[in-house]
Amino acid sequence: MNNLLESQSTIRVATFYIGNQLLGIDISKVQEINNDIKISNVPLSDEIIAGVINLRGEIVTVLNLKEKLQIDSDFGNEKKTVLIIKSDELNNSHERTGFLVDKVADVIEIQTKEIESSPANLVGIDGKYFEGVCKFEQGLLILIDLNEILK
Amino acid sequence: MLDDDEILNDFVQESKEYLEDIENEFLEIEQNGQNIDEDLVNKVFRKLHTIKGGAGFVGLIKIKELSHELESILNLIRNREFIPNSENIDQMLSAIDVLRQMVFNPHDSEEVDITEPLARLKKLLDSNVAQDVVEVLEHTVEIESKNISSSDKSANSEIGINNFEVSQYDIENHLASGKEFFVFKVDLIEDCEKKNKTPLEFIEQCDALGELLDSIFSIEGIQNLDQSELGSVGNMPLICLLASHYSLESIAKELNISLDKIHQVNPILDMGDAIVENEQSQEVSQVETQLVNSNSEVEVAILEKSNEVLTQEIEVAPPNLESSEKPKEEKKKSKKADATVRINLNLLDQLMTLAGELVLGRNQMMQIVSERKDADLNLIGQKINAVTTELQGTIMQTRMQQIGDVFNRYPRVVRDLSKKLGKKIELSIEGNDVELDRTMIESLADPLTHIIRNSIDHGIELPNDRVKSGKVPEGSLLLKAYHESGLVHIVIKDDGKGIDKARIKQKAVEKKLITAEEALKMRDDEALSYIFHPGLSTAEKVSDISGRGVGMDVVKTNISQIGGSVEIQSDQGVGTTIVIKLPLTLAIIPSLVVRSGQERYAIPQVNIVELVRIKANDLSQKIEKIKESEVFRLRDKLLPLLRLSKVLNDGSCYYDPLAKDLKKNERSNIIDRRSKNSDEPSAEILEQRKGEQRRKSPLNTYEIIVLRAGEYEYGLIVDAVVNFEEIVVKPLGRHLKKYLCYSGATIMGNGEVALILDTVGIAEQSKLKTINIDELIKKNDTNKNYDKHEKVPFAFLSNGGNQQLAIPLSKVSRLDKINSQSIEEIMGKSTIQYFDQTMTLIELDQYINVPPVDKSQENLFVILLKIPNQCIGVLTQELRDIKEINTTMDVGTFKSKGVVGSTIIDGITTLFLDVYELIDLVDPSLSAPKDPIQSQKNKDETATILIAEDSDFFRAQIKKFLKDEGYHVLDYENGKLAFDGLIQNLSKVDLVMTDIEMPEMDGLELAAAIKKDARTQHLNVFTLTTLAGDDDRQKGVEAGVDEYMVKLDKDLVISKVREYLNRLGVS
Repeated sequence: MNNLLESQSTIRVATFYIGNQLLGIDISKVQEINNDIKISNVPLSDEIIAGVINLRGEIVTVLNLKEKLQIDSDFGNEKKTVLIIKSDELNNSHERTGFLVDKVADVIEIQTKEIESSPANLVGIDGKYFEGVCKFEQGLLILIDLNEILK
Repeated sequence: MLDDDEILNDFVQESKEYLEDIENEFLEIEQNGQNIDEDLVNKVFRKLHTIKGGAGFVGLIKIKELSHELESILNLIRNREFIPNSENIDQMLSAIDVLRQMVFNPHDSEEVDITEPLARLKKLLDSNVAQDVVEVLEHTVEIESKNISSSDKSANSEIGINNFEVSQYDIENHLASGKEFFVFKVDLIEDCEKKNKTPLEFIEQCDALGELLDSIFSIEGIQNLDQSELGSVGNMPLICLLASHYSLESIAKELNISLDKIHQVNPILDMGDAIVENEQSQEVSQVETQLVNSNSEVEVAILEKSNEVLTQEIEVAPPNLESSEKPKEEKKKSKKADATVRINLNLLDQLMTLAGELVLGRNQMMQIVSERKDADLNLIGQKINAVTTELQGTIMQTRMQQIGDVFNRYPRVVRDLSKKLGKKIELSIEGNDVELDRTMIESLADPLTHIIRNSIDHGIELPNDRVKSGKVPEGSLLLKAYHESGLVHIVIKDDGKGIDKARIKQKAVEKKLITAEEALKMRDDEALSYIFHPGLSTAEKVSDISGRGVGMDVVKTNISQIGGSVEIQSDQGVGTTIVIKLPLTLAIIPSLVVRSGQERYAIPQVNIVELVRIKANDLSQKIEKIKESEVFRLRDKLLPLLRLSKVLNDGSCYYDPLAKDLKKNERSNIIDRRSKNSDEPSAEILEQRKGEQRRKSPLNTYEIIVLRAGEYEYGLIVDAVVNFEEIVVKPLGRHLKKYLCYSGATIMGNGEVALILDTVGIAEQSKLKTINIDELIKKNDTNKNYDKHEKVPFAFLSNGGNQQLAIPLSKVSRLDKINSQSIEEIMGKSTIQYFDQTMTLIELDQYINVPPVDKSQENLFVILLKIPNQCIGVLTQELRDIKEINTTMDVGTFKSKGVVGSTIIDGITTLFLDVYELIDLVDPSLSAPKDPIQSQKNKDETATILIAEDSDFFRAQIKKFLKDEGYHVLDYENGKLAFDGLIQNLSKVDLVMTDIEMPEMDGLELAAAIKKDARTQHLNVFTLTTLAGDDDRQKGVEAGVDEYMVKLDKDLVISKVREYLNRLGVS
């Protein structure tokens, strides 16, 4: 578990869905959310690359989280929602990365003590991309480990 | 070592610049030889001194030591005690190299072993300078400044006890010139950084007053840091020893330090007994010499380290303010005017990005503004437009750097190399101030070094060889930069022996890059371009300077990576010129925007050779298939062909303008379709083909973009060419770096992203190199049989009817449209005013069985014939095409005056015109007057000329004009038949004329066979060709050819024939 989680009592998390799965990212890492932005295809690229977008003059690579996390989703990609992640601090560059997700949900505040370390394999998803899980009445919120995903 | 990054950075930056200068100044000193230019040496000395001082400030001991040693040598040179030869300069330069290396990596500099360069410099001194001088020089004197007024605790003058190390030589010199010694305390933070001075600037300031002899950290100062009374003292106190003519007060004022921090020290040398006793001893003796400080009881002791002692008391001469050491006011002023601020590079890059974005936004806005037709809005729009343009330009300038930063490296490179190779080379550099984008300057250094090395190693000859070939012994090398048509041109020009093109061809043939035949045909500039091919080094011997087989290809790749191009031009024996053309910046580049599938892509214009649009009906002729890959026949070359949609695997789509819809392209390969069509096309398709509609439809045209990828050219088929646009290059994220096909991305006017295609990457991605190159050569070989028949360009014209006429393009000087109204009848002939001449028009219907020109039509065409001193044109209704065709023809069917023969091209009867005969028909007086003497001789002319020529057209033409001259002619279709014919008619033949390219046996082989055979070797052989390159001529000469001529140059051919036959006495 990450130091950040331990050092604060609560954290604010931006949540979103891929398929039926609720996932969350520390809000301080999310720069903005873009709806319906034109994603240009990059032929020959891996499945996990959804394409590139023009973010006010900056070319931002968009990762298809569904492919990356291997989550089944029949949502289709008609409406494109892209989370823009500030990855500066993570890899020491000024680069931003986009995450293509199915639907954006609320920003919620969670107690760090409620966060449990994730099991190695969860609902068929490779556990290495998770920082932890949080149980709610409605289901499970998975917190994403950005470092691992952006590696 | 000092741990303040800013001060250290300043030191490194400035030292780098100094070292660059020093290097070139050393070279100047070398050139001056005996005539020592004191100002120059002084300049170098000062720079080294400053570096030394700076290194002392920041605590880089090794740098200080080495620069000190160099400084001492410069000092000797300055005092004319040592005159360096070029070997000495070598050693000094290599010490500079070590020094530079240390300065570049200051953090590791303390680890560098400098004993070797130091030892070398010492040896240099030992062997060149009088021993006593060396001893005095090497003898360091330690000066101890000791505060003895321990009672005066409150004094701020506390300087502590410090040991300065100063060469005795220096002290003697300074004393002799009447300087006094001062010890003062400064603080790097308080006195330099906070006053916006770099350490080196501070040192220069000190040196303007005299000479800063040494500086040391005041350990005590740091220890005292916490004491309140020393609150004003920062945390980097330095104690400096300065020799100066100035008074204590003026020094304090100049350096802006308080009087209580500076003290004068008077070296009074105490002649203690111990000195005398230890005079012969090898032991280090410490002798305390009292330096009495008049102002504040600072005692400076000189500690003797060696057995050398100052044996006499030195009187301090009165300060001489008139000396050359006077501070230079002007210099200081210029320093201040040159105010600069250091900015983080990332910040600059970001500014550049934003400016690019602003430009895009401006473009979009301006479009809307112009649509609105609102005067006020328009005004604002104009203003924003202008400001944006200027802003972009200004930001661009911040990235610009002078090319001199790279050029300045080369004097040293040239000197070292030429010396090593025993050559004499004078390097001249022009255009140092031309500016280029910073990133390009960096990438330019390696390619330039390579080219320059090549010039020195392979280009410029040894002095003796130069003299032998009538040149001055000293070779010259020019390095020049200038602006031309929006590009920066860099010229590297030498006057060496040039590049042996025959060798390149030979090499290329050896490496199986081209066939021997291709080599024969190849023009010089084409041959030269092979120098950029990987693995082609023409150096006979591999040297360690160049010629390792990696070379010019790398140069070319590097240059194209920064968006530039390289051209080479070389005349054997005269020299070589290489021109590098670079865009001013990489940030904005002109590109072709194309579409494949639903995405748009940009292709940088520098990579594009040409655009070719071919009609679907021509596909079968132009595109062939080798195994799985397609090739495209463009003029004489076979180009591998790629489909962008296939390369990118994006599912080929095409836009059908009729259905206004994107359709999936079901053909995987155009060639599949061709093969279907080539057998029995259905009536429907034929019907469609005729339709004008269909011809214009994009479905029926293919856009082929011919691209250059390093050494290769290939065709890329795209779904559509959109437009040419200036694009702003943006980098791709790290996730996309690994994809070879893309070099970046850009944003289109509509805000969408378009990827920039990397032509080399695409070739690699498609494994283009490995598949095609061998196949192509093979294919070329199998094509030889029908390819042997030479293709010749003709202009096709028609007066209507199912008939067209062809005139060889070599006989056409220009094609033009005329107005039928302007045709005048003069003496029964049609003429027209053509520029300032009267052009006689040939109306073909009067001589040949063709329909007349319809003069009621306004626009008619004229084909101006290439006849010396005549202005004659053929009038025609319609100009159809210019095409290269095989000249196999039927000489019989349509034979008439003015027509050589006929053939059927694309189902249309085509008559080949005989230009000379036509002119003769129009006006016999116009054709070239016959030589009267010759005409007379022609009466009993019996000479027989054998012609070998595969082209029916040319054979008929040549035969005809030779016959007109009264010669007998034997003609054959190829070299083999000709040789057999020659053997049969051995007694008759006086002269052989042959084409070069022929099936079975070519002209050169025929020539060689004739010259080898004892029966025929006496015969003169002429070759006739469509083009006359020097290389072909050379090959001809090697094969034993006597004359080399261009076909259809009737007058020249006839006169040469006469000349040779006269010589033979056959007439």
